Amino acid sequence: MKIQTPKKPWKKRIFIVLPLLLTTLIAAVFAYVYIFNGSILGWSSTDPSINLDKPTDDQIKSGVKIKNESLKKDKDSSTRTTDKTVAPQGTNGSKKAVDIVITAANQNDGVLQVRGLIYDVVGDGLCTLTLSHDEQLVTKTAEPQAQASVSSCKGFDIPVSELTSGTWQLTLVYENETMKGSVSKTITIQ
Amino acid sequence: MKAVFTKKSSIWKYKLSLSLLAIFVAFSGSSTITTIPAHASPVVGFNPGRIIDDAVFTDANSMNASQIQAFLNSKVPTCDTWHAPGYGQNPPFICLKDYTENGRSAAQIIFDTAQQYQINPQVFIVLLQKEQGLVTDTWPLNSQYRTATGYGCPDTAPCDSQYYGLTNQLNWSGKMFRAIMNNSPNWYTPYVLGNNYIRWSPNSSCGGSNVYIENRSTQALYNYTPYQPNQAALSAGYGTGDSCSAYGNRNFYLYFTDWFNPVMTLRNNLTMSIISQPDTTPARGQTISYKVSFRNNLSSDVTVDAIGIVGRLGNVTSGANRDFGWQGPVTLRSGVTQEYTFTTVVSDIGTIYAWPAVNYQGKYIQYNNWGTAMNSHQPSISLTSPLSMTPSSPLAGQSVTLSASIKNNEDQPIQIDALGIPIRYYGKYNYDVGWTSASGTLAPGATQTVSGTTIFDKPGPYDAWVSWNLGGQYTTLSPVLSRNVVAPSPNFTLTYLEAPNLNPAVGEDVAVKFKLKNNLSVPMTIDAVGVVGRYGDPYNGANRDFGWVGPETFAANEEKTYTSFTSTVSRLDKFYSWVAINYKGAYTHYNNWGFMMTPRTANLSISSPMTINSGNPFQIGQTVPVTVSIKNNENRPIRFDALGIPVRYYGRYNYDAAWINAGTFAASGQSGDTISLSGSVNFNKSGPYTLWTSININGNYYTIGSQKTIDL
Repeated sequence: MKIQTPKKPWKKRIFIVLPLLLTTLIAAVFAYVYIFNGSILGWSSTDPSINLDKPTDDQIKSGVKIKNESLKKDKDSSTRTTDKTVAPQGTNGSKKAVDIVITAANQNDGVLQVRGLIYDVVGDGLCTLTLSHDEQLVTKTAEPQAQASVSSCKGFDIPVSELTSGTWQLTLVYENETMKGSVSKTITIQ
Repeated sequence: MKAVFTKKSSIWKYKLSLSLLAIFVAFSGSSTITTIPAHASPVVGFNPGRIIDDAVFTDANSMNASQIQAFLNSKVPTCDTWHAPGYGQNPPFICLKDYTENGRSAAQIIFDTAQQYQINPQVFIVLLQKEQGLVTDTWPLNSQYRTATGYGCPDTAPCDSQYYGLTNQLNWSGKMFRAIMNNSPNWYTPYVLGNNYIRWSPNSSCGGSNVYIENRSTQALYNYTPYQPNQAALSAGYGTGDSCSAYGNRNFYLYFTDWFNPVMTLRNNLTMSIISQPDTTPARGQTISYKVSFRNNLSSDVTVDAIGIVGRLGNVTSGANRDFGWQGPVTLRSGVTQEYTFTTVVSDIGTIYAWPAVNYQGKYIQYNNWGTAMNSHQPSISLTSPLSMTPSSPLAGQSVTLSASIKNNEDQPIQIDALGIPIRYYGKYNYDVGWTSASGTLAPGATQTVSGTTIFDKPGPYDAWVSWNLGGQYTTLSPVLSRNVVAPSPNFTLTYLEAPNLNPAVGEDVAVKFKLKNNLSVPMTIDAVGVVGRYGDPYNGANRDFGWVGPETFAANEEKTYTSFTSTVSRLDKFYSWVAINYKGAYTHYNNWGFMMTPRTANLSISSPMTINSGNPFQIGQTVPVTVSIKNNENRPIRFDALGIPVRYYGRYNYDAAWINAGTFAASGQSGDTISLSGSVNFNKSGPYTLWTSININGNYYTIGSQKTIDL
């Protein structure tokens, strides 16, 4: 009598499990590449100058700090509108003080370049630049221009020929209906 | 300036370096970038006057929309959409990578804005991060998108609603950036190219400083954030500085350089060409040149911190710094090829590697695959006149002149920082001569003489050789010339000016006058010079030296005259005298024991006979005067120690009449050649008395004239 020995079950299963494992591995590789959008091991094949790593802890912490400070500022102040009638005012009905600074007062090619910065975003009002020297008085005016987080005055380029040599006092005043600020600086005209 | 080679700290940079290495292997002549560590702390390379280059700032095609999307994805791998409510907003929270507005993704809006205003989209990405933290935020609020780039948001007041919205915010940012880049007459910035006063923070009491703004893109960034980071902010890296710190521009710089590597952008757009490379087998001291050109392929000018030629001795990474030099900052004009020449003097023997490099924002872009290897050699410099010493065998204290001539046998000029003749006494004490203080070059085939004079002031071994200095390194050009310098022995010539009286009288002064000449060409100091005097025997006779003076120093070949050595003849014995010197305890005797004098008794006579009581009679017990006069018949003075009239009773009992102490008879015929003695004697006893005239010279008594005897 011939006794038949049963086939070992693992031999049958290996033909099922192995393709499954290979398929899973290939899928995982593709998924990884998809997740990192074309980069393998964080390395972009398109432009090595672009860092596709996850942000560092420092970068994340810095981003959180930026977010918190931005939101805190929003919370601290009510939303502003361009409606002049509700613009903030100083106490006792006086105008609110606004910080301004003369950022540049350089003489180049016969022109005195004076630049003013208003620490607020404004679209109206007037910048007045007064230059005084002995009995001489030169006055220039310009409108403000809003920048991203500040404003500038649309000026001032003054021909040096209008000014005599010596020490001049510069006074820049910005004023609109709700706020006012001024700053002075001494320069020497050569 | 030193090129920096450091390990990259981040995985990304590590992978980047691997990739660069692969590129290196594949392509000869390619470039590499060496970086500084990531910005853990502090910030490196931040220039407040040039935060970013215009060329980078306006590189609008640096990324397409899909690349922007991939980048945003990489920074938020998992969005926390269902984060707990916060800041008054309930979930869902939409991350930037998933954000859309009017059907366009954030990535597309960024790309479109970049294209519209021809601004690098990376600038907008970093702007979104540094204003609202949107790029890394895993649960951003709607309000962050409203003021996404911070446009219309003063630091001291609420934001302006007219600028709300991601698209609107990016659009206004791009509009402003482009207007400033174009120097639009309709956009008035508060800053100019040149000097500007920029505060540290919104708090005016913190103050600020003048910043020289170098380019439009930096002007635009200050237009956005009108503050510069103070030192505390820079020292903190991504962290917090102090109460006067503002972070906007610092964070822009940090995020931009960490995420987009502007150095790589620059590298990809700079074409370096080698025009001429240095001689690969230079001689040490030879000047070599490296000439290169750079072409800026970007659409705008770019200013790099420095362009130079890196040089390394022996090893490209760890060798000693032998940089040819650096020029910078250098503005590379868009589309223009600019040439640069660097020269250096080879100061070492060995292999020197040299390659062009550019320094930009603290990082080095290095070209030419670690460069050209040069193998330097010792220059062929021969002696046309060997090192000589005059006099050839100098004595200690003698002035010595050393001289040699060298010739450059190379076909190139050789730099000489110094040429001289080192001299070492006992191998260490410096007696160098001839060192030239100014550096120069020795032309091919040219000769140069080096010489100098010094004094070998001490006896002992001296070694001299010809040496050439370049870059602090010395090279010996001649065999060592050694001399064992000996101390000079006294060498004098004696000349008598006046011989002594060889038959002097006792009591007479004899003099020995002479000249003594130093026959050496070096100074000589002797302990003493004098005239020896000996009675009876020149070896063992009684010492009657005329005297000694010293120490005496004779200059080279100097002759000195001595006329003051005298001695009074004191004995009737042979008297030897000669000149001698003492040098370090030893005597040198001159003139073969000198002069032998034969003293004699002085010719003294009684010029007035002795009288007792003036020749009158006197009684026993009477005191009476006794007188006598003595005359010197010598033609020289006669010295005596005592002169008197001895009186003896019964030949032994002393009744001396008179004695005078030391004195001198003048020479015969001179005033004072006669001395009169006068005394008194009390002849108080009866019996014989003997009287005579006596002179004492140096303890010896001599009787002058005859004795006189009276018997009372």
